[in-house]
Amino acid sequence: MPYCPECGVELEPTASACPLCGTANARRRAEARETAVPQDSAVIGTVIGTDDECPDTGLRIGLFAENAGHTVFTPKEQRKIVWEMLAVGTLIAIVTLSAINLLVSRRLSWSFYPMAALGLILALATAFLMCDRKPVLRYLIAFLAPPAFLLAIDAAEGGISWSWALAVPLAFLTEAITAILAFAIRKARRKSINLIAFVLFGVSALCLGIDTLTDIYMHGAVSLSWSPICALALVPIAIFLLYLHFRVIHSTNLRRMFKL
Amino acid sequence: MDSAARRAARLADEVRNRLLARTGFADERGIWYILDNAGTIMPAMSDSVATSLFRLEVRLDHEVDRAILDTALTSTASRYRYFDVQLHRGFFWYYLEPCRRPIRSEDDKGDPSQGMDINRSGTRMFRIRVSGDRIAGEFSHALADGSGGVSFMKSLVTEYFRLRGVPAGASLDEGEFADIHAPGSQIFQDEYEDGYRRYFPGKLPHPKPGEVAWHLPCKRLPAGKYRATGAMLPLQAILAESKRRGVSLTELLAAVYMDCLQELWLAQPTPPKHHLISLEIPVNMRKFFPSRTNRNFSLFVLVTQDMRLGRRSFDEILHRAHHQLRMENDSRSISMQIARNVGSASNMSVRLVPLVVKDFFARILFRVYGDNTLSGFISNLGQIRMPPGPAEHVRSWGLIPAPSKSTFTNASMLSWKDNLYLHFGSLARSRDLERLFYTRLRKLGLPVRMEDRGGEE
Repeated sequence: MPYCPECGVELEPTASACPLCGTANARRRAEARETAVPQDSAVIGTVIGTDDECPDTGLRIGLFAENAGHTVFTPKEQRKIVWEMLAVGTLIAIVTLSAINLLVSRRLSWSFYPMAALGLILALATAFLMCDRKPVLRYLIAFLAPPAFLLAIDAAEGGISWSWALAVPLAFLTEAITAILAFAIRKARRKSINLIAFVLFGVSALCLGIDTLTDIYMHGAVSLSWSPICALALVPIAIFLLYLHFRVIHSTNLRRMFKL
Repeated sequence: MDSAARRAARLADEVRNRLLARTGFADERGIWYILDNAGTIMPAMSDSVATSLFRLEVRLDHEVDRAILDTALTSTASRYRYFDVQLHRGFFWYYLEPCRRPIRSEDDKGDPSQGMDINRSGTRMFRIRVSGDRIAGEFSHALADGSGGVSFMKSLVTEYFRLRGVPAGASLDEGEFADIHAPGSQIFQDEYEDGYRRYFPGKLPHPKPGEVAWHLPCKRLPAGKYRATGAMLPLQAILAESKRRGVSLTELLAAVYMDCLQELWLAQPTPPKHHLISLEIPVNMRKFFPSRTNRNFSLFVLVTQDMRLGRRSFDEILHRAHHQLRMENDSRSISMQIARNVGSASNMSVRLVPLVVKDFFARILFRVYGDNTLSGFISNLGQIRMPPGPAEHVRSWGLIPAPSKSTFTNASMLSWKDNLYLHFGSLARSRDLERLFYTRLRKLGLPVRMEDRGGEE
């Protein structure tokens, strides 16, 4: 019976390696070599590697990876490559745009707008490509980038006016409602027409919020006009869809549902 | 109170508890069930990674005949109709309804105990998977514990062999094989009773809350991956070693596990914040309180060690494990847990809280008072016995514990014929714990033969 020289455990004859440390089953390898048909020059082997942070206990720890003779990028490396390409491309575009603007107009004017847009794209790409293991940072960047873009656009026109009072609050409102909707949809145990209901609630809330914020910006006071009509049209439909979802589609005996 | 009054009070308690223990109800739409006291928290804790699925494997001496197995599965599931259910959300509690889809075995692809979310509508609470000569049953802990799962698997395998022309060779539903139920045999309500409620002791002091324990710091495998590592040891050898040391088999292996946790704790580059290492060992309550329930009926004892006191030798660890387990493993001490669990669930202020709020707090409480107090888990299902007919054709059994996002790596064992089968299930990338464990067994002079799981990772 073959055994692992590192761990001292017996291995089954069919095992290619020790499941504890990865040491190849020498007997099986020898048998395989004797019976193997000659292969072409591709390198095939078992590589023991780890990206684990476990302390050095003197034990070889590892995962198993088949190296088929070509470089394989991990998902993390792939994301990094894409981000770098995006960053370099954005930088080149920014430099080119500002150079053209300076050449033609002797100052930075129109180029500020596309530069701000490119900055927004780069910020969002950074959030979703590079902050994979840092969800708090990822969502923070994604949350702050669009308002920052709007502030930048406003500043390019010579001073911050409409962005701070209207655009940024609207952006925050839209982001907050989107986040709540995404959370509710993700957490929904059963996904059917209840999702449409959630969206309708979200749209109603958004309409009310837009109406409120534009009223405050334009008139200094809240006097809702069109948004209650939207809400009154959408909310009853949403409630009816939820009733269908919980009570009719997945109908159940009241006694089971309400058993104490 | 005189003896007649005492007897009357005891009888009243028993009747009340028997009613409380009912989990099956019938109405115009058919029979439905509520979850037992342990299973009721599982849906809130389960997701696509920590699936709550434990896995029982049976290896035969031939490739499984799928057609015959599916026929056996249909009739066995019909007999175990309280298993053939799916989860529903009530307003206050979860409940189980019969699953109307026909049951079939599945190909055993992918990692064990993954890829199944019991909270998804229409999901059966268990599944049977087949690969080559291996039949695997994966059962949710919301439905049953290891004993219940073993009962089902034994019945399934016995029926499978009967259809292949191999008679059981012994009486089923009684005696030594009372937990093997032939299709068509009478179903007793006791088989799906809530044992905790039946033996609810009333007002008793609750056990002290556990302290936060150290958890092995390592990265998790990607979602959908769960690594199983198994080994076989000669049962006589390990029993002899246990006897030589004056402990039980479970105590010996618990001590080995604690020794490994100690080693890993000490190997940390800086002393960990949490100084307590704690090992959870389930206790089958059926040995204290007679019940034929196939639902959950287990509670837990803890073996703990405070690492601030320094490194302990293996003998010291074994000594502590032996005495801690003996001290806690009695019906009175364990009754405190039943009093706490059933008492909380029966409290009207808890019962009146809507399920959506209960779920939210259940997750927090379970994490704080449950998972956070454990560094590891090891369970012993004991000796598996089957009728002589099918037993001749079963090569091995195996039990892989359910995945846990807090302890990451857990162990389970059972005995079949002359061998002990010990499996680890792990969500951790690192294999240090498994490797330490099995090499420790080698250092005790015990032969360990690793299972070839065919490259499952």
